Amino acid sequence: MKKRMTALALALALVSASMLTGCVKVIKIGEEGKYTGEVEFNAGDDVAAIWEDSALPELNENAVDLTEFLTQSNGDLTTLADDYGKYSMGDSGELSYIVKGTGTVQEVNTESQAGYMAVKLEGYNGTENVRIQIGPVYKASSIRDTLSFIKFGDYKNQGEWAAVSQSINEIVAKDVVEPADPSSLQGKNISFVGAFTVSSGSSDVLITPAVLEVK
Amino acid sequence: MKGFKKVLSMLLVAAMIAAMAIGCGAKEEPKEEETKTEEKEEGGDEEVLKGGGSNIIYIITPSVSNPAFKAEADTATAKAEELGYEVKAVSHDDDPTKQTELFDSAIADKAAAIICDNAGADATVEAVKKAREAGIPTFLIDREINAEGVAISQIVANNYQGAKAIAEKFVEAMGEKGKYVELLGKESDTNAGVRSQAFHEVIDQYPDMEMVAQQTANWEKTEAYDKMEAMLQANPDIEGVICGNDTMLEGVCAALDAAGKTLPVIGVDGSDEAAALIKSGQATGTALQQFAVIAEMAVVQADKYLKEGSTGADEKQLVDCIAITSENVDKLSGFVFTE
Repeated sequence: MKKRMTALALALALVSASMLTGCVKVIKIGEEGKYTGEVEFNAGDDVAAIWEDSALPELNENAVDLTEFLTQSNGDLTTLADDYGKYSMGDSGELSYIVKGTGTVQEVNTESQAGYMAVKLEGYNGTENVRIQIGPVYKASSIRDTLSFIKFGDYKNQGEWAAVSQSINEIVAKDVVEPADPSSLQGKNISFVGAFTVSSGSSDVLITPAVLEVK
Repeated sequence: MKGFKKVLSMLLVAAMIAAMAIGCGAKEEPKEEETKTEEKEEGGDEEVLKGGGSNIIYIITPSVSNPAFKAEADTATAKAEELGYEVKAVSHDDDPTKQTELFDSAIADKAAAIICDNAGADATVEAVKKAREAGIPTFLIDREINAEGVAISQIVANNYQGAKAIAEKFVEAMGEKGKYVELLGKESDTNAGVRSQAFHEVIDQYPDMEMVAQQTANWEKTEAYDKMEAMLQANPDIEGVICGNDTMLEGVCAALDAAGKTLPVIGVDGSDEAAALIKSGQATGTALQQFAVIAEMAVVQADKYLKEGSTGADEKQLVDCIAITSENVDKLSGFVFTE
């Protein structure tokens, strides 16, 4: 009788042992993706991969000369939407343009965290404020919103979509603005390529730079 | 007899060990099956859902006690009726279980389509799948879900962009510095987290902005009033307030008013109540979610899909929010911004 109990207990113990541990697969942290098929999203890596090879060439190629653009726009920045602009929602929403130009730096504002350089464009005397963002805070997602090869539908949700823009702006800060040393640019002649988003009710042109060079 | 028992127990033990050894190998098989069904589902994207057979469109939204969702439900209902559908407009009150029951009712009613502002990015996936299996296409509005290829359209209000845009106005109104508090929305609602994250993505970049308290008021006005009152007592030197939605903004402005204060306050939604507070100078701004636009888009797409087998649009569509401040508040009425 005792033996029987022991055997039974042993069998039970084995059953439970096999149930509890036998079929559990231990997966290392960070390797879940291999099993669920879901790759952990990393906006920084994603953006680093596209910046040099795809983003910069497209921005350089599609940039419209800002002096000509503003002259043609004649005060209404939405006029040339069909020719050069890109709307965030196909034919509505936020309107962004890729622009390039040369000019003189009239003011370097670092008082605001959202710092900027005020630029007097070569050959243009209009009233629009042309400003190039120099951070450390960058407003809007102008560069992301002008690129043709990335779209919201490719990302899981709004958070990831926003992270893409944040990563682009980080690259801008590190690879574009920092090497140009904005604080030394007062009064200098510069050339730039960048993107800006039209803000409702204002004619300000706030450019996120992708290329920034002293002439 | 004793010997037999012994043999039996030995056999059992052997079986167990065998199970241990093979058991895990066998587990691989269902996984393959899973990938197969996944492929099938992906391939099934092409398959056109005909609707359940009736002429009923279900419109499922959060509680219409929030004017934003009321505008959404009303606009969708009006558009669907105009297009000749019978409408059943119901609310899930942000309860995923109730939402599942409502989807079941829609399936039982053989609904032609479901328009839904859902009760949870993960919790909703199963319900939408079930409707799909019953041949009923679902068109999601306002909030997105964490799956693609299940719903026909996801027309999402870009909360992230909207909250960021209005947070920039908040920082400007604060002069880039000062102590502030935050009221969060209902935790189960994805947008509560999205909006808060977006606020902080902007505000946290300013080293002189300091959040001294953060509490949930569950999207509710009276709860926001009470929480604001308590936070003011604990931190009398608060210089600004950020709110996850406009109903909480209303509560906050009332509490500040009662304390004899006017501070920078922002919300999200774009309600007429918030617009009035912006006009009177008691609030700084809000981010208009274009509820009416989104609701109408969804009904039009559902109708097109049922008639032509395609919406002609991507599944995921983002609808921008508009930052509303004293500069442009006059153009806002009934969740519609007229340029």
